[in-house]
Amino acid sequence: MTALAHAAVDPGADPAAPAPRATKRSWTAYVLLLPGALWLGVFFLLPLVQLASVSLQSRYPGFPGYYYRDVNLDNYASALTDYAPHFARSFLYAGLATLLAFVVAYPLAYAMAFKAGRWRNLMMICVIAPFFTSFILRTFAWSQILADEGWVAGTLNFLHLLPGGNIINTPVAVIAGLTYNFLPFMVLPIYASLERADPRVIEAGGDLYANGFTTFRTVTLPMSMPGVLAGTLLTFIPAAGDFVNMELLGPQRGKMVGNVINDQFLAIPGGYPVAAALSFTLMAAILVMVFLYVRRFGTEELV
Amino acid sequence: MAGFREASGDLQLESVTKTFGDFTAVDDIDLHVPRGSFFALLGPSGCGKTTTLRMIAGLEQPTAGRVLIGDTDLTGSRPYERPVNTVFQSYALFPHLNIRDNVAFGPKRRKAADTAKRTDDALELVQMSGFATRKPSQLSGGQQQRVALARALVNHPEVLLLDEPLGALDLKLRREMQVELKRIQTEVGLTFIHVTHDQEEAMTMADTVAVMNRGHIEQLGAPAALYDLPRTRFVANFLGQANTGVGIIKDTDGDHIVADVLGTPVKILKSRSQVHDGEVLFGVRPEKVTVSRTQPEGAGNDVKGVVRDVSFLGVATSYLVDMPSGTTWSCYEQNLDVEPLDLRPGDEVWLTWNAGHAFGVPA
Amino acid sequence: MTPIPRRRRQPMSPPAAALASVATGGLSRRALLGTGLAAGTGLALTGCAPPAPPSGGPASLKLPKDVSDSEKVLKWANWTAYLDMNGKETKSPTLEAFMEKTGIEVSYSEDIDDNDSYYAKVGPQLRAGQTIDRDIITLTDWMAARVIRDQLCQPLELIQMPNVVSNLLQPLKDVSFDPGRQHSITWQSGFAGIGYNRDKVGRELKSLDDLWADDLKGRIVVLSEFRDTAGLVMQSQGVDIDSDWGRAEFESALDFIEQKIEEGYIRKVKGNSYMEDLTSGNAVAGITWSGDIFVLAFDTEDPSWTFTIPESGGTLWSDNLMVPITSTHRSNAQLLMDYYYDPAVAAQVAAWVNYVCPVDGAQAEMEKIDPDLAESPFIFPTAEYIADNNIQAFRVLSPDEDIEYADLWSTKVMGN
Repeated sequence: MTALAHAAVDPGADPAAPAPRATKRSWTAYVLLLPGALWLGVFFLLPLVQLASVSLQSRYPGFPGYYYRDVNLDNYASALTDYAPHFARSFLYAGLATLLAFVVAYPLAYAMAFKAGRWRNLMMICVIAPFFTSFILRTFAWSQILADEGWVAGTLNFLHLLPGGNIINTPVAVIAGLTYNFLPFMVLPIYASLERADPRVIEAGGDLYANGFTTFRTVTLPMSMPGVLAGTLLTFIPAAGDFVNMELLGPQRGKMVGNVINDQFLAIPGGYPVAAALSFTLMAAILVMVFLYVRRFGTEELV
Repeated sequence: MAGFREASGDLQLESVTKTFGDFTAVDDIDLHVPRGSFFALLGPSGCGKTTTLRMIAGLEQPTAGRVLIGDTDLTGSRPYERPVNTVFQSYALFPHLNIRDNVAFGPKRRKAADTAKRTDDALELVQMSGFATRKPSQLSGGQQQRVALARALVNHPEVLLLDEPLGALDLKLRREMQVELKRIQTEVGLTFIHVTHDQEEAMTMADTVAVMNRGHIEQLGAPAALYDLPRTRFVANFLGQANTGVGIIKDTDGDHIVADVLGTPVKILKSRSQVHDGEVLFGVRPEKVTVSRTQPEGAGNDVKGVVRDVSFLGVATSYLVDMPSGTTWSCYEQNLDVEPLDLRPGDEVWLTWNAGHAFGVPA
Repeated sequence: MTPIPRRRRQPMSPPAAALASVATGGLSRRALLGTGLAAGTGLALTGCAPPAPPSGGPASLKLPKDVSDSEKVLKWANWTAYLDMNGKETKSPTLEAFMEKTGIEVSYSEDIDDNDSYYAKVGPQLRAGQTIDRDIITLTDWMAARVIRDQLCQPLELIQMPNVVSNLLQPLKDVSFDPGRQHSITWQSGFAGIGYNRDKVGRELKSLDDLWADDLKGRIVVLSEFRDTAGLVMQSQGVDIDSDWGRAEFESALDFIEQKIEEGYIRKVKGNSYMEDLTSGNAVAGITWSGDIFVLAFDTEDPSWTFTIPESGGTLWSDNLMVPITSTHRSNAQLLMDYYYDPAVAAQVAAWVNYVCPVDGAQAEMEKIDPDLAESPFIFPTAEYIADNNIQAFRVLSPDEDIEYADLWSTKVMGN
């Protein structure tokens, strides 16, 4: 039904109702798109095509480090079978880290948006400050903090609260590292969506007989869903492909797929094709998951 | 709904004060709003009208005093415990819910058995039935305003609060909605408390208007009474236009007092002046002033001035006239005569008015 | 993609083998090429033919014009802590002296963390004939073998390097991967063995089996370089790693290591970053490189850090200086190589890095610097020391083995 028809049958329609915008296309738009399209083409599409091509190549027998043009689907077969547990682990750890980050980030973002007052800027700085040092250095710092003879493990051991005797080199440390490293990516979008919310809309919940918790559940939380959605994606996607946390904080057994890709690229002669196939599979798997996720929980802002 | 307080009757504020730090937003006001009336709180921004409204809604708690509906003391209760609903400024519709769910929000929280029907009825009442599945962002301002109204009305609150509900609409739409709101209020018969800074809007719609300034209620009454006989200088100036001048009361003449305003003696009915000696602010409304080329006979209240500006408005003509005292008066003449006065800037004119139309307030 | 910094020094099989005066029986370049061709032919029959072998013949070798005479510059890629440094660790005294003497401006970068990752980065560029902006690269024997076989380094003119000719230790003058040292010159050598903190362990560790004790469970790190870790384990299983052995022996060692990981004895398999685990206390012992443990003892001022060759034997490797095929400063590079074969200069470097010095006459010069170091078997090992302690070089792997074993190691031990 068109807006016009509405107006004809319904006095509720008024002249200020937004009419569908005229779909006038101008060449200016395409010219403005050009730099971005070029950028994407050169720095995204081209490497992607190259990666796709490599992922189908074969190792050169007898020449470590060499591979040749081929259509070798074994790389993908290997990615899907040999490395299925690594994929599963990556998604499990990334999922848990995302969940934990959400649990930590939401109250933090909520406090920043509604309760912090003059402390808000300071809190914001505290959330962003870690970005001023490198990701690897921060993770390395955690490997020192959580070390067996560090005070964290020392204290817990003293209190007999650490059954394994160590924190570092356990999956728990990896998930904690992932949570820590990607926390700001969760906090900031949620904060932005809460901060943007009209406080009157939240008051309206109370005015319409919803108590504090019900207002949160039926108004505040749904209104911040775009931020939650963006935050979970920004956390889950890099966490699923991460190898640094596993490398520095993880155990020797039970690697994530990022570690396999890293080793195939760098430590195994001629591992490029398998690494490329793994990268592609990871990309595709994440794309599918993100698609389903956004379809299920998405809002207009993101779909 | 746990904690919900049934209450019925007139709305009463007893000695309500609200302070924010050093700032007193609402200063010891008493208010009695009879059940079923359309009541307007009028005042400039920062006068405390919205704070008063929020205290009635429960969104703020008074620093001192009580809020009652009928015999039920609502002071201290939470917004969701009160039989009061609000139409918020800029509507505050839930952006993630469609129109139907927005309207059904309140009944659902109260677990009303007939939620669906009540929602339909409320949408019907505001003529928005055709938009039930849209999202608020797909509606125009006026449509959102109707939904906000339906979302509040559907709960059949004892008191409906409207916080500048028409502020975001353009003039034409505002006029339409004023009539519409009045119609709905008459239809549902609820107590409406309407907060606005637009005096015309308040006068058009409300049975009773309370003019607020600096946390106080300056004057309360029917719109016509307020306009005709303001009791404070603030009301005189805030509500419509007034030609005023500060004078000293020199004498009395029967029912009148006589004041000297910058050399011109003017009469005010004793019953229409709040002060009877000392300084007084004399005032007369522009439409009560007659403009003529010659001095009318017998009229006591007249002044000679020079036309500064003439605006032809169709039904009327508006004049700005410079007075010998140095002030400028505004006069509003209905275009009744076939032959117009044909005054031009620079022409000398006589202004007259009926002494019974003048008013005096404390200077 | 930049890997996490980790230094992985691969044991150098051929020079080590040479040093130990053991016949290596390694394959010549011709033989390697032949293998490749044979494999290619074999695949052709299956309908999945690889193209012609990656390397051209020697005839196709084209060297860039050497502009050393006009450009007095040199860029050297090396590993960390692999050159003498002044107190602030900002400048190298020997390198400063070289620049003073020759007028060549040397830019020294510690940009090699790992043989594989470095070669994965520069190999494709060299193959494409592009410059890598380095005139000397430093790679471990087995990787040097690959670079020479792939013809990605320049032949060296020994006639221009009199010090090298006269002072290179006799056993290193003819190594299997580079007969007559036409393409590479040894930089330093070293051992892999057991490194541990005697105080924290509370006893001496003499054999590899001493590592698998209940009180050390989860506090052991081993090197991710399989030629060292698997090499040591194979030795403990009675294999002579420098002579004939095959997949069965290798797999058996890997099974053993895998079991020790599963049982929780081995905590991590790491590159050079194992040092951090030793420093932080996560690990107190492990399979390590010799020089590192001396540096650790020095840095932490804890003399209880001990390096020992296990009773069953240790491994020996070397790193080699080479001129990448696209460098235009070969003569400058040769000047530098020759300079470091001056015994006095070599002794200065050895006194700092604590690795095995490949320069004849350096021991005598070391007497002047530090008589104790001159006696150290970890810097100047005698043939007897090497023989008595069963220090062996990991035998040269054929290219096919190279790939196969790297895969096995990655899957079974690295957990990929």
